[in-house]
Amino acid sequence: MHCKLKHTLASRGQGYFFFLFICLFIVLLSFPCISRARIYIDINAPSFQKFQIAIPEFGSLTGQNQCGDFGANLLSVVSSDLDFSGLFSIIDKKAYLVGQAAGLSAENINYKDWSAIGAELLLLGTYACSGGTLEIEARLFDVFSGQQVLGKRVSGNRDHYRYLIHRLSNEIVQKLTGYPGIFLTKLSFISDTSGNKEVYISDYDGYNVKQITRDRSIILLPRLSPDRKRITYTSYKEGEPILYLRNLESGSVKRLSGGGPGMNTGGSWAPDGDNLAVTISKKGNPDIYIIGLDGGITDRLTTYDGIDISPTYSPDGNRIAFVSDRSGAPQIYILGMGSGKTSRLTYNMKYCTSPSWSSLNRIAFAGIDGGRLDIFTIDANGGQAVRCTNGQGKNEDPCWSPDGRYIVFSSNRSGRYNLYIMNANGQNQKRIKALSGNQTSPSWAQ
Amino acid sequence: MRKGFWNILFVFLCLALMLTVGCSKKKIDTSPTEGESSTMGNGAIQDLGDGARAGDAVRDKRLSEIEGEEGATHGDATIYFDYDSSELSSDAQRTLKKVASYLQSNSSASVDISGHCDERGTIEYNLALGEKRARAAKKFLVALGISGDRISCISYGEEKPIDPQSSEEAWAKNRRDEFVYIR
Repeated sequence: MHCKLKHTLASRGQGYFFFLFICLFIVLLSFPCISRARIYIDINAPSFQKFQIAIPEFGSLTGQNQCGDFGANLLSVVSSDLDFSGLFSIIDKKAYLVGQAAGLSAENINYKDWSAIGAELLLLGTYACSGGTLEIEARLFDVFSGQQVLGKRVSGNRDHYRYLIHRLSNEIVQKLTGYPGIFLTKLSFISDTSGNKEVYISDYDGYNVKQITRDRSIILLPRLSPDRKRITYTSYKEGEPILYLRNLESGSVKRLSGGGPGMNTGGSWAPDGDNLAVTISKKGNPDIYIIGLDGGITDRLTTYDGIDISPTYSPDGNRIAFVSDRSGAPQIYILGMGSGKTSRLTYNMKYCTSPSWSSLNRIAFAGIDGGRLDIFTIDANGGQAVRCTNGQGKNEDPCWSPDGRYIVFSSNRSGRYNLYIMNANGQNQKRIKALSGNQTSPSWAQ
Repeated sequence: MRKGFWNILFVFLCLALMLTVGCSKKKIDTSPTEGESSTMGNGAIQDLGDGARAGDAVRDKRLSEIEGEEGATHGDATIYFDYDSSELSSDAQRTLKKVASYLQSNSSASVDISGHCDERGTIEYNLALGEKRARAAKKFLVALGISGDRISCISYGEEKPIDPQSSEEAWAKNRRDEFVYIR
């Protein structure tokens, strides 16, 4: 009995000790977490103030003769990245009181030089070359607290300096927002640069562009797979509009759908990349089908005797948004995959097409309001409609960034069609690097 | 009082005249199709053999159209549509009756219908609309007794405009079905 009580007390004491230990452990663990997870800007807020950032030219640590003058190139890529993010306002270099020429380094920053010109953040970069290798170091300072916020170094092939800077830009955005940037994502699109509409793939900013197809026919609606290893598109190279699947690693191409009469277009990749929602009209009018990557039809989702086209998967893969003219004019509808229940999403305009469903559950589409196509976004339940473009040429083909925070679209506001990126709310519309001719039908993958 | 009545009648008549002129301007001229289809009727008929061969001919013709010079052929007949519509106007129906009578008197010929749109909509919807236009014409021809096997449909959406400009006039020309006879 005595023994038993002692044992109970001892075990209770052990329990308390263990509990205290766990508490202490959690507290200790959360301290560095709190400081590491400090978010400088809440990008989910409806509106936010842009960071005023100063970025002097990157300084060379090895002398300019080693690998040419990279300083200006590195500065232009990082400035462009941060500008595309919509989070920063880059202070004009003419306003700087000191620059790289003054031997500016992390050790001798006079923060007043930067706060005086309104800078909240200061990004200092240096680079060094050895052989074909370029090493870049970036340090980000909070001008008001006089503290270094971030210090990162990357190195790699100097020909890939844009890629190296994109990695650093991602780190900067991750540090300030808690979310990685979009700078390492890829776009596919159509361009008629060669005289025919062909498929191209580029970095998110339009650089590093590669022509993928040479069908010398008409190609429409390319869609990159979520893992970026494959792409589908519709080509007329055999006369009819046939849907093809191309393996981007091996270059092999196979027919996914078509060969008979009718449309085979617009694949939307399932979130897991295992199947595609497509538009097929072999039964007399276009309907939405699910096909496997072997081209076999696994499901038919619509049977309306009219136009049902342009499916886009919800992020959980349980629903599909698509376009139908069942009300008399094209509108966007949402269909539950399991239930088959269909509800109309758009009401306020006569013409709503090209839906794209984001990973954050917003649906972007092209609508005609006032005679011209513009980009709009709306919640999947029909709320919170936002007009993103207004009156600058014709704006169409919206497609979300993989993180759901940006939209790429095509616009002819400059006189010909080019691709533009904007924030999810329509702010910060910026053209990506253009090819000659017209660029349309973008798709975006991680 | 009587003078006022005549004034009102005069204004009314003027308005009526203006409206009539306005309406007739909106009509789309389909006269070229009449001329072309009548020359088609005089053309010599060649027997190309079985249906498979005819299918190849359709394909080759489409490929050469895509690869070849832009707008070189506007087809053997053309019908036009209203904005975002696949309804067949009375002009379109007249042209389709001529196409049907050509096919009836040339039993070995088939027809290839391509549907087209103006540039105002979006690419995929226009592809679907072009197909709807081509199939509306096919349905009409089938109703006139032409076998569906002799009619093939394809849509090019907004990809092959007759007139690349952005004007009401150009859009009206581009919203069309083209008919090409395969002999």
